[in-house]
Amino acid sequence: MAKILIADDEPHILLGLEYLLQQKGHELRTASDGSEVRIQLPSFKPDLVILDVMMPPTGVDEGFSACRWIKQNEATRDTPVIILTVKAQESDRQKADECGADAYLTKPIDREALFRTIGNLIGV
Amino acid sequence: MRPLNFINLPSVLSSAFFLAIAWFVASRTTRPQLGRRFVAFCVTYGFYSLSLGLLALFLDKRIAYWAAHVVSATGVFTIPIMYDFLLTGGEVKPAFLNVGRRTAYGVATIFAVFFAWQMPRLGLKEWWWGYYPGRSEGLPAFMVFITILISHAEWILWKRSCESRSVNEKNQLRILFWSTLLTIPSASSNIAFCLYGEGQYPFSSLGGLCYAILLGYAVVRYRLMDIEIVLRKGLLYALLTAAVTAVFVGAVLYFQGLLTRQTDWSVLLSTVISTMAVAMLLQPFRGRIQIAIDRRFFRTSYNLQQAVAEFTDSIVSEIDLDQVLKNMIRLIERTFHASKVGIFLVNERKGEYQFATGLGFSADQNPPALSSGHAVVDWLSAHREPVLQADVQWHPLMDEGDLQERVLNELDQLGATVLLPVLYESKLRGVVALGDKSSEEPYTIEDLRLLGTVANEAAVAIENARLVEALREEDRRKARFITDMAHELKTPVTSIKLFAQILEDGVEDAAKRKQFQRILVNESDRYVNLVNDFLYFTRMESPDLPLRKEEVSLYELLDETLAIFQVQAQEKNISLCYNPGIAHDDRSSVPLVCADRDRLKQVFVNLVNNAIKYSHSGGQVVVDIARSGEYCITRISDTGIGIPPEELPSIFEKYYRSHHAREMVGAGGAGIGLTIAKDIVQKHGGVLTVESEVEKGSTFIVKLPVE
Repeated sequence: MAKILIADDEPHILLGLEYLLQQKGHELRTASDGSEVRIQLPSFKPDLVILDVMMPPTGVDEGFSACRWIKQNEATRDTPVIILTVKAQESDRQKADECGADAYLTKPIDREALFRTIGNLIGV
Repeated sequence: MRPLNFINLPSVLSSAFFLAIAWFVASRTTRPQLGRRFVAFCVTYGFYSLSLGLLALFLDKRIAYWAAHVVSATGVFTIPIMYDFLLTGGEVKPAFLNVGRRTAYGVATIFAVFFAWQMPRLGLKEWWWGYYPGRSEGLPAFMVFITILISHAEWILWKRSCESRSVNEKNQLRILFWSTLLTIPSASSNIAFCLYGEGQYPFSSLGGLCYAILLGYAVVRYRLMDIEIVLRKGLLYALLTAAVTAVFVGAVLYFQGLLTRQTDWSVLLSTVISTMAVAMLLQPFRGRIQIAIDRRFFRTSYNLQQAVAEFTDSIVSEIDLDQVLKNMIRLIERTFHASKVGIFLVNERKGEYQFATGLGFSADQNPPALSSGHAVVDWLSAHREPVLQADVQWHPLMDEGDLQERVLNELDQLGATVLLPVLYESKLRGVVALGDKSSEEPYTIEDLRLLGTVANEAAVAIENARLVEALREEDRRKARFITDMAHELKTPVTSIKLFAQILEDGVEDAAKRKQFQRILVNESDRYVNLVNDFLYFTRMESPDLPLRKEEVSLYELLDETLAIFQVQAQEKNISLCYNPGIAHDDRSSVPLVCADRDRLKQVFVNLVNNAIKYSHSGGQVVVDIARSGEYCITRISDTGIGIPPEELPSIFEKYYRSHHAREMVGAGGAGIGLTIAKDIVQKHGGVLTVESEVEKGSTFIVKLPVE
C-alpha cells in the first residue's frame, strides 16, 4: 500500500481522512500546517500528498505554496499532490494548475471520488 | 460760487480720488498697521485737496475763511502722518517708532496752532481764480521740519531695503523710497507754498496724485498693502465714472454759473435730472465696459478665471480620485506657475492629513503627514482661510504666543509659500501646499481667491470620488465576506459528511464509533452557530431586530456554552473551566440579567470558541463571573496567542481578520464573530472589552447591567 501525507488545519477532517485511508490499508502521516509538511516530507518520503489550501503559517494560499515547494524540489518533484479545499472558484483551480498540483478536489469530499483520484495518481 | 476752473475742479476730483483710495485700502488691507496709516494719509490729503478746491470755488469770504483753516491744518498734519506711514512701512522697532511719531505729531501740532493763530491777522489773498491763505512767518521753520522728517524716513527706508533679504520686501521698500523721493519735493512744496501764500497750480495736486499712484502701483505689484486687483479695478471704475459724470456736471455747472451768475432752482433741478438720466443710460453699458476692461487690462486674471471654470467643468462628473487630483495639480502648475504643489488628504482613522500626490517634491521621499499637532492644521481648521507665508507676520490673529514662529517653521519644512484649506461642509478635508511661483512673484489676493475656488470645487469632487471609492470597497468586502462565509460553512459540513460516510461503513471499535458520533453532533452545533452569526450579522443594522428579553441566569448560559466546547477542548488538550475560586461560591450571588437568551449565548459561544481556537495545546481557558455594583462582569481568559497592540483597535470591526491569528492558527473565519458579539452586548446596554498580550493570552470582558 501507499504512504500518504495529509495536511489540514481542521483536526476533525484530518482525523476522518486518516481513519478512512488507514482502513484502505495506507500508511498515513498528518500535518496541521505548511511548515510541518516541509519538515515531514524528506524523512517520510510519501507516495502522495493531500494538501488543504488555507492553513498556517500564512493562512492564505499555504497549500499552493507547499505544492509549489514540492514540485520545485528535486527529491519530491515526482510525488503527486492533491489539493483538497473548500475553495471552488475557477481562479483557485488555475492557481492549483500553476503550482503543479496533480488533482483538485473540493470539500465536502466525496469518498468515492477521493479513492478514485488516489487510484488514478498512484495506481493503487 | 465761482465757475469751475482748472484749479478748483482738479482739486475736488483729486480729493475724491484720495478718499476712494482710502476706502479701498481700509476695506481690503491685510497689514492693518500700515494700511491704517496709509488711509490716514489719504484722508488728510483728500480733505486738504478738497478744502483747496472749496477755497477756489466759493466767493463767500466766510466759507473761504473756514476752508483756509482746513487747508492749513490738514496741510501741516499730512507731513507727520506720511512720516509715520513711512516708518511703519520700514518696519522700524515699535519703541523707536513711537518716539519718532510722537515728536513729529507734537511739532506739527505746534505749527498747526501757530498757523491757525496767525490766520485772522494774515487774512486771505484773492487771485482771479480764487482765495488763498496769506503768507506766514513760520514757513521757513515748517520747510525745515518737512525736510528733516522726510529725509529721516527716506534714510531708514534705504537702510532697511539694503538689509532686507526677501526680494519682495526689498522691492516694497525701494518703491516706497523712490516714490517718496520723486514726489515729495513737489507735493511738500505745494503744501508749503500754499501756506506761504503762493500758488503754483495746477502742479499743486498733481504731486500728491503722483505719489498716490506710485504707491498704488507698489500695492498692486508688490503687495504693499495687499489690496491688489480690487484696488486697481476699483480705481479704474471710479475714474471712469468720475470722468464721464464730472465732465457733464462740470459743463452744466459752468454754463449755469456763466449764464445766470446765480443759483436757479429750475436749472439745478434739470441738472440733477439729466445727471440721473445719464447715469441710467450708462447702466446697461456698465457690464460690457467691465468685461472690456477685464479683457484689455486684466488679461492674466481673465485667463485664470477661464482656466478655473474649465477645471470645474472637467472635474464635476469625475469620480476617479486620482484624476481629480491630477487635474487640480495640472491647473495649479500651469495657470499659477507654482514651483511646488502638494495635496494632503484627511485620513479619518488616523486623524491626520496624508500626502496624496504632488509635484516638485522629491520623488523618493513624501512629505510627512500633517496632524492636528501642527499649528497650520489647527489654524486652517479654525479659520478656514489660506495661510500665506508673506502675511504670517502681519496677520492680526497670528499674533499670539509663538504661533507665528511655529507656522513659519512648518511652512519652511514643507517648502510651501501658501497653504490652502480644502473644505467640505465647513470641515477641513485636505490641505493644498503651494511653493513659490517660478517667476518669484508673490501670490496676489486674486490668485488666492481663484485658488480658493479651485480648492472648494475640488473638495466636492474629492468627496464624491472618495464616496464612490468607499462604496466600491464596501462591495468588495461584502463579496469577499460571502465567499469567506461559504468557506466557513463548508468546513463543518465536510466533517459531517466525512464521518457520516465512515459511520455508514460501520466502525467496529466502540470507543471510536462514539467519538465519531460526538464529532457529528459537535460539527452540527458549529454549523448552526455559524448560521446564527451570519443571520444576526446580516440583520444587525436594521432597527427592527427584536430582542426577546427574559430573566436569564448567566451561569446557566455559561454552563451550556462550556458543555458545547468541552469535547473540542479535550481534543486540543485544553482545560476549559470556571475560575476555581468562585466554583464553590453560592451561584445565587450572581443575579439574573434581563436579556435575549439565544443572542447572549451567541456572544459566549463566539468568545469561548475564539479562546479555544487561539490557544495552544496544553493551555487553559478560564471563565469567571462576578458582580460589580450595577453590573455583572463575565471574563473569558485564555493562555493563547494574544492580540498584538496594533490590531487591538480593529478586532471588533466588520470583516476584520487578525493577521496575527491567521499566521498562528490559519484561516480566520469571515471576520464577524467579535463584531456581532460586541453589537449584542451593546444592545443589552453592556460593554465588551478586551485585554491582551501577545503570547500570554487574551481576556474578553462582558459587562452587563443588572436589572
